[in-house]
Amino acid sequence: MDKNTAVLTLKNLNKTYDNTTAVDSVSLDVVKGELLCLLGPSGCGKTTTLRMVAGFVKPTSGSVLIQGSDVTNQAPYRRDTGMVFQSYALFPHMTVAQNIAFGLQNIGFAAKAQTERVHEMLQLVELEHLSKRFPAELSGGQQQRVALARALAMNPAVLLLDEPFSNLDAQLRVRLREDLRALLKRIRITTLFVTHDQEEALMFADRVVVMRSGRVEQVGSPAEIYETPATRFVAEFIGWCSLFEGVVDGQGVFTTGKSIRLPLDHKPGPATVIVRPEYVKPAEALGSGPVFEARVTSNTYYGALCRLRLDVSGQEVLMEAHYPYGHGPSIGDRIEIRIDPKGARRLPAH
Amino acid sequence: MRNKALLGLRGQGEASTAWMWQIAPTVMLLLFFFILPLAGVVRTSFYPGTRSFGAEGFSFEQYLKVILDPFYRSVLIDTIVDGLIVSMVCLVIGFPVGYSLARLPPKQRRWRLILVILPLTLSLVVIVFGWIVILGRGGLVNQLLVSIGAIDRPIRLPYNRTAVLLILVQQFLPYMILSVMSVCSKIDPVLEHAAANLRANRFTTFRRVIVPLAAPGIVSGMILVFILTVSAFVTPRLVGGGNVQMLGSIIYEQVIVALNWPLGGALAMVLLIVTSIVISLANLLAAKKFARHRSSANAK
Amino acid sequence: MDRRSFLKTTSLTLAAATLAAPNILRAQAKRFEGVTLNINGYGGDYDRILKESVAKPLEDQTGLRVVYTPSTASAAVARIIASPDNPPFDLVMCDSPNMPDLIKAGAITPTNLGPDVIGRIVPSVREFGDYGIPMSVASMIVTYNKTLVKSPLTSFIDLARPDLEGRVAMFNLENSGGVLYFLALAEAGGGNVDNVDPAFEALRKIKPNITAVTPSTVNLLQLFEQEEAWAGAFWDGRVFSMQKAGKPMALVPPKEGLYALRSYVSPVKGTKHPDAVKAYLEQLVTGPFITELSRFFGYVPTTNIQLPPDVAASVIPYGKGGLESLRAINWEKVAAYRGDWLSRFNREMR
Repeated sequence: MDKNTAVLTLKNLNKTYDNTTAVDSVSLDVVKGELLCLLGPSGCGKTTTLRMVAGFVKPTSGSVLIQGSDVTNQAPYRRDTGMVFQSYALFPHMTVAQNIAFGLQNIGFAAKAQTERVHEMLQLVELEHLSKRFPAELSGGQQQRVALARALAMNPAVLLLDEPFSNLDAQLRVRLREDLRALLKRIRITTLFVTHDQEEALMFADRVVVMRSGRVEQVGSPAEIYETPATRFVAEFIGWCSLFEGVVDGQGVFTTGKSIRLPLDHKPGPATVIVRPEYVKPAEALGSGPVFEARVTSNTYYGALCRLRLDVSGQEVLMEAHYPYGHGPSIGDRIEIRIDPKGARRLPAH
Repeated sequence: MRNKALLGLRGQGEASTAWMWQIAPTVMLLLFFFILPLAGVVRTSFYPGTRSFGAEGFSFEQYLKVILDPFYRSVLIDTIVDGLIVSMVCLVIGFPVGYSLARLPPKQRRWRLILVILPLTLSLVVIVFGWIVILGRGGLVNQLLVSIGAIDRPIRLPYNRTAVLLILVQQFLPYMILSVMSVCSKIDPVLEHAAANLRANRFTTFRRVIVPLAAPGIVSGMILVFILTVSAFVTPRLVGGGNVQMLGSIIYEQVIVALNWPLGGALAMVLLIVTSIVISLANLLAAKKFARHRSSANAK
Repeated sequence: MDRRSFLKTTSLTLAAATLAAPNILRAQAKRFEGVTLNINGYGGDYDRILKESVAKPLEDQTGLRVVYTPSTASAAVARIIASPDNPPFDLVMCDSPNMPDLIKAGAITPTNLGPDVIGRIVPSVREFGDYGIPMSVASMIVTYNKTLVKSPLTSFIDLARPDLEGRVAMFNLENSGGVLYFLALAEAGGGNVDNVDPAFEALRKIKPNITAVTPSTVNLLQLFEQEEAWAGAFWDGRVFSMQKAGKPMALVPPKEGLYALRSYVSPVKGTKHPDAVKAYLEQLVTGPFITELSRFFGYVPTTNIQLPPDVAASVIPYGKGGLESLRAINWEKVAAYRGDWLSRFNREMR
């Protein structure tokens, strides 16, 4: 990554409250136009990190650089960031247009320029017809777009999104995610965004930072995070997976003792191997790979596919499979499965 | 809310009288403790003469006396002006206190709140005499002023309008603080972050976000303090030293000392009417400015 | 605020005679068992002496309970007049100025005590015929701080002396004490209760000297004790107790004459216990109360009781004639005019 293009840089950022460490030596670069996601369970420090960037939380140590200049000790209202809050934080006593104009007035936009910019932003989020409404008169999705327009109107160096979809219902969420990603990409704005929803992170971000207990666990593209998790935590937090503890022998074959045997061609030694459920298939659906006999312990129907929990001689294996016409197996059925060895990932040893 | 519930009931025939029973206790309470005594005062104020017991007839004599007498007029104006001053000063002092209390976590807020409310539990007479001692020639304030060299020898501090207003401010400040606190604790602190993120400095945030959202509390606090001030009678009588006349003490003298209830009643009615006008104006002004957001905020 | 409250408490030992209740009274004991009399209170030491020398012996002898509820006397009077059907008190204690209204409103009844009791009362003290038992007499006198005021004052009008500029404090007309010096000034200037212009004339001369006028006895006491005021018109009893406490205050019967008010106790019309009320009044007149009042406050007794020599030596000197020298005051007219006087005083002294 080219240092010169980093719009936002976090250097060794730390935050401790009394005796608890909320954020522990986080370092990051976010490049121009990049959508970077901080992902992790609640309490992992992602929101604190975001708030340190905005200036609402003062770091215990470390520094925040925006476009190369150190803003660590700068007041929030001097920082070139635009934030969309989880609750949107629209001013209830101002109309949509007034909300958007609020920031412009603070940076000295003339009246005419304000009107133009507000109009432009309303066009961008397709809310021109609601400009005279008050926030309480808008739907959740509309409020989110107003909050976005309000932040973008300032043309900030960095856009900060705090769980922007958590207050929306599921259906709306998927559509708005796609729309928002397209919009942010179109205007090429550098975005740091926080979520606890791994699905959201994978589909929305260019790069994902997985955090746990204040530390960065892994940084990578969504595919890297999903396919080659660096730690067991990342593997389990992102999506579903079967987790096998075992050893790789001299021939490069991985075994978990009695049940699982997979040719891996890795260095010998103890190993933790994960297999995403889509790499486990009913035996007849996969041409090659070792066959295992499994007992179905649960089967959850998701429409296009079923998620099954299987017992292979005492080892739990997760499988995602398509059973046409609803003819999936029932609990207790014995079935034959294959595991695609190419889909098995050995976690780096620690 | 209540209106909607009432409207909802209207269609149901059987339940159509239920709301009467629901509000009956409130109406009775108001009638018994407020309307009836007030009606008594109204009636008394239209008696001729100087006594109400055994009085008969109906006359505008008292009101003419009040309206035509420049003394009562000037005292009325002074009283209203005092009310405005005290409520303004209470606002200026009370707002920061109320606001910061609202922003404290409940645990830390509790004992500070007790400190705010404590003066309300003390007898007013005790407070006033305490002040007279503090302001006296040998009192704390004079000693302080002399020791820092601001004055050569102790000066007379009480027995003037400033002292009366100071003590009224001290008495009524808690009401303003509580009123501001209750409304500010309903303002989402994240709005202040949002404002800061939109490049608003502290003052702009205060002026354009906090104040408009706290307006209902500010208005109700000011109205409360205004009413308490214009009806004050203990403080002006004890601290005014005869130099400060407020309508409350004049009404007290006429009713309690002179037993001239007709005149006292008329003075009280005039004060009530003028106060109502001032309050309505304040409400109207506030409503004009904040009506829309308030209705939309309620819908939330 | 009442002028008898807030007095420094000093120990009082009751005469042995009261403690040893005569056997003859024991015989008719518990005549008023279960009966409670409600009386408004003056507060402070006055109430304490009432309790010790009237209520306590009565309760011991007859089982009668007496409850004093301290409030300002005028407020108690207003309450009694306002609720004629359900009077809050069985007996009311108030001063001369309130009596005409109570009588006119029919709120109190004549005392109806036998001549053996009534005969003990000094005739000149009874201002309202059969109405009210006078308990004590309080006069308005001239007082000044002997260390701060070099040449002695002898009259109320002396308070206009130029050397007292800004150093005079007195009651306003809300306090009945104010009415007393006011009438003194009126009559000394050739006026009377119907023509008080001379009083206002005199007040105009005194006005430049006035530091404060107040309706409150405690407030006026404070003014003298803090030396905020050096001279003024005050109650004889209060000056007397200031002298006893070592304050160099002079007690001067003014040249204008002695104007005084009496404190009366009267049966309230509609009381449910007329016999108990009668017993209370008899105990008050014939018991140790008058003596104890003189002992504590220095009041000249309102009955023909022979004071013990030590008490007699310490009562307030009234000069020749004693109580007989008190000026007669037409309280009916005072009550009728007082509202107008108050208004005029307020506007002229503002």
